Amino acid sequence: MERTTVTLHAETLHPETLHAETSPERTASVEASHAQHHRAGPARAAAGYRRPLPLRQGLTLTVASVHEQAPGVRSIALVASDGAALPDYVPGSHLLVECGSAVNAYSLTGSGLAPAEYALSVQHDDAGSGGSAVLHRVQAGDRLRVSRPRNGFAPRTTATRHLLIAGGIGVTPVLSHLRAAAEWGRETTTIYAYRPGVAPHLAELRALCGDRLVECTGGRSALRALLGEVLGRQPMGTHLYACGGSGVIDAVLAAARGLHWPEERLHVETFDTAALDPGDPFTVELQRSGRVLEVPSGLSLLEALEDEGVPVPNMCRQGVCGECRIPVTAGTVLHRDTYLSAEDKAANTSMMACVSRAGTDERLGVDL
Amino acid sequence: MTTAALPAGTTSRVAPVSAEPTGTEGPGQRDLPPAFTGRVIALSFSAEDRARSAELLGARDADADLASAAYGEVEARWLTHQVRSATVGTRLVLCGAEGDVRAAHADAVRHGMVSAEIVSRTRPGSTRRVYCPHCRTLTLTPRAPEATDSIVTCGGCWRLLEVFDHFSRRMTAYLGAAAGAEDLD
Repeated sequence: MERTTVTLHAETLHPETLHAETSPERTASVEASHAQHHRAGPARAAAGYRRPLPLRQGLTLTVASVHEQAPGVRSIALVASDGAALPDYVPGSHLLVECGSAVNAYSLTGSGLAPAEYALSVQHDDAGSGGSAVLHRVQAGDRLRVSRPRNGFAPRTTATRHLLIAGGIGVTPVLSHLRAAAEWGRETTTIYAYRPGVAPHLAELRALCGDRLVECTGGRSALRALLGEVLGRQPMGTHLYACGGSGVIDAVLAAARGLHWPEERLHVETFDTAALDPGDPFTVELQRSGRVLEVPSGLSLLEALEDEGVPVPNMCRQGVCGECRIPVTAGTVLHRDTYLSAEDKAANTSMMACVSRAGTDERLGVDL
Repeated sequence: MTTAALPAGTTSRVAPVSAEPTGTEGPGQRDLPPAFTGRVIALSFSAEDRARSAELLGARDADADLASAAYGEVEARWLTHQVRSATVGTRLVLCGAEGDVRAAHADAVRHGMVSAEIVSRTRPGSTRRVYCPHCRTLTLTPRAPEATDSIVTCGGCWRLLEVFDHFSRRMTAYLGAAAGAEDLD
């Protein structure tokens, strides 16, 4: 692996990324000021910002190369700045990447076995919080703060076969699964739904899958018909893994459930959470202090808690990462996240403060 | 799958087996999903088990159906073939004595089914299997209604085994260990 010259492009990076690498004193003062200034959320790029724990425990990596993967999609290869080996990861893992004031999750596209680099493919999201725009500006030699690989989308070891379904940029963890499957000789079938002309990693998928790849460019109705056919003839022992936008995920789950697939066989990773309904107003009692908060429609519980000076560790603020999970002691939660399992949700003992709420006039008790 | 070939343990300490009334306790009281239209594989043992299986199936028939005296090698081969040639969405209905149902359950899982796809009703069996960790032999022993059969003789090494409540779903056997091994005097 060739070592790249370390040059910092300050305009593309978060200020703290620079200070953390170059000036320990400055980092210390940033951390010390945290107590007075802690305020997460969109304003967290300000002086009082403290990195979420997974990033503090993470790695600072150097961009080795960048290339255009497809229109609007850039592939970025990251290596250790000192050329050291990167930790192995389980297929389907993602990294949290600090990009400007946002922390975004991106899937790693390699098999995870003795990785020479961490490769991400980032789709530019005009409607996002600006993180993907920051990553579209990085150049070879830049440094990025990332978490260690995390995984909520691993291949199941008990599966005898694997049915992989990718929608658009959701192809990234599927590619990781396919590379690992090739290394381990696992049987796979892959469905790739994409818009004609925008098909990141299509050549790699074709090379890895041969005739076990089904491409779908006919939009939603064609995908539904295809799913009904393919899901109806999967041999016993097959597990299904789907990654894509919420439209693709909904279509996959509806088709699978209609064909009596049990939940244990369905593994999904959604990346664009559709804008959530503002929800009904409800009341929260903070059991430790006895304080009572009103959470109006349109404001999340997480934001209400922050306004009240009760910080809750958080990252994605979209019900995906699991960071802002809080214990619930009373009331019935209206779960709206994609992090908790169905059993966790039914247990009603914890909730994701960023998206989940309660019904009108419901009074929730939380252990804060 | 080796159930039929097991040596029957003999020990004078084991009280004679009494046929217990059929119960419905056992692993999982799952029913078929409401309005289930997928394929069903059914395996039952006694006439009574067969009736309970029919009850679980409701108005429909199983797509593959076997009633047999016990779960032995022939039954295991039949079940394995059915599971391996099935598609996802198929359910397995098992009705019988605890040991038979658990052995069939273990084989189905080994060939790719998940517990959520298996609907079972068990009755207490007249025998159980005990695993000897000293010589790795499985001993088929009569089972008494009370805890009077907690010592059995291993069919492999003839040690007296104390039988623990520890049950292995993979081996469908209870764990035994040399009786009195902990007495130091």
